[in-house]
Amino acid sequence: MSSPEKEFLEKIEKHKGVVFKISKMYMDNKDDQNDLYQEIIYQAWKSYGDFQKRSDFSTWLYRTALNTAIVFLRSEKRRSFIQNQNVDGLSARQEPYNDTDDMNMKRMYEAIHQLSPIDKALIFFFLEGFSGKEIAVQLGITEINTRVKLKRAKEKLKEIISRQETGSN
Amino acid sequence: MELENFKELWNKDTGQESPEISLEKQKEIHSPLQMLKVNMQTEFWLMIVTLPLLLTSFPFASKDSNIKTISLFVTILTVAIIVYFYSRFLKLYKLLQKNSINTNYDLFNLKTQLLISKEIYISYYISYIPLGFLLSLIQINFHFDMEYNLAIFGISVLITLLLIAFIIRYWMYYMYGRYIDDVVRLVDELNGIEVSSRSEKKKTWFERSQRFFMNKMGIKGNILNTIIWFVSMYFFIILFLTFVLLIIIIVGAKLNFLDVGSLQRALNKLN
Repeated sequence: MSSPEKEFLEKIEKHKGVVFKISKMYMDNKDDQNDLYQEIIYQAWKSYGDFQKRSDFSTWLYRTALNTAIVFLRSEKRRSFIQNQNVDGLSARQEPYNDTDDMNMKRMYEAIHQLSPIDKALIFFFLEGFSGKEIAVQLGITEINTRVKLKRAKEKLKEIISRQETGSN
Repeated sequence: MELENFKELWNKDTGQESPEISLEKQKEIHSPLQMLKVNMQTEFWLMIVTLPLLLTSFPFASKDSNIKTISLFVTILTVAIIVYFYSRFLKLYKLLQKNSINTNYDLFNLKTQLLISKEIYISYYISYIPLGFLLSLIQINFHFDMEYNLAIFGISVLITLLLIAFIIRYWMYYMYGRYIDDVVRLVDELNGIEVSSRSEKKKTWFERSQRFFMNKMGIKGNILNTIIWFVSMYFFIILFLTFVLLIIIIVGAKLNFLDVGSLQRALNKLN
């Protein structure tokens, strides 16, 4: 194994959990999540040579991951490219849960799946604790625009959650 | 459940169920630009194989050496056009690097690349208009004096124009346009430009067959689907135009607009 490859794999190992969480935010089934995860790793490896160490590896990786996820083409078996759709949450919700956290986590991802790809990116940064200014830098839009968009994305998410709760009651 | 609970849940999720890391390229197509590249590559080979065959087989049946020479010239010109435009596209594709300055920059970069590819593609088909014009002239041996020759010339030019309009409107959309539209929408959304909501359209036969073949064979399935539709389009267009011309001739002869004898002589003169 070459030295850059080894270095890259070591760095990726520390962040693979977050990368997989991004895959789970963007894709609603296991196969697509795995495909997206692999695609992110491949794209990151392909552009690793361009990584100038001007920013943190994690920040660069998250950006690469989101850029890949935003334009990701689903497998034709499950194709629904960049469009909002209702996840197959209804059947999933009927499964018995032993753990409240697991159930809430599933609901959280189900709600996020219903957002647009750009809103998902905003919510990701929000959940990772990025400030408005940092999100603006990552997305390449103004801070004001970021704050407005993030506020709208959160409102949409709240609306989806309340719809979920009304539906499950 | 509140949004603040989401943060708590998010932090609890370790994502440790992630699959094994692999640096290998996946066999399926997952990027719009790659999809465009595969489609363009397939179309390039289809054009290289079929177009010279079509351009040479009909005129070369003629005994006139002038027609043979001009047809050969047109064929060489056509192949040169195909190679030129395809190499332009490949050059553009190679230029795309993951600079990853920020999401907006990367998406805008991708959008620009895709839109330039689209323009190159349109120019490529538009460049066939003068060729079609030239071929129509060859068909009538550059003589307008004979009865119906002008009509034959006009119809040939019209057919070329209709074909190009059809290719730009439909073929381009299903092969490339729909992927480009999605990226354009994303860039617009990110930059605060009003994006109309996507209406759920019924899947076309092209999309259904593409899905079917890609399910079975992945990238090869996509290539096979393109070949099947490309060849079918040739047959469909030839059959459709033959049918339309037959109707015109039959109705024209019945209503005495056309003199079948003169038309026969004009057609005989063609080759």
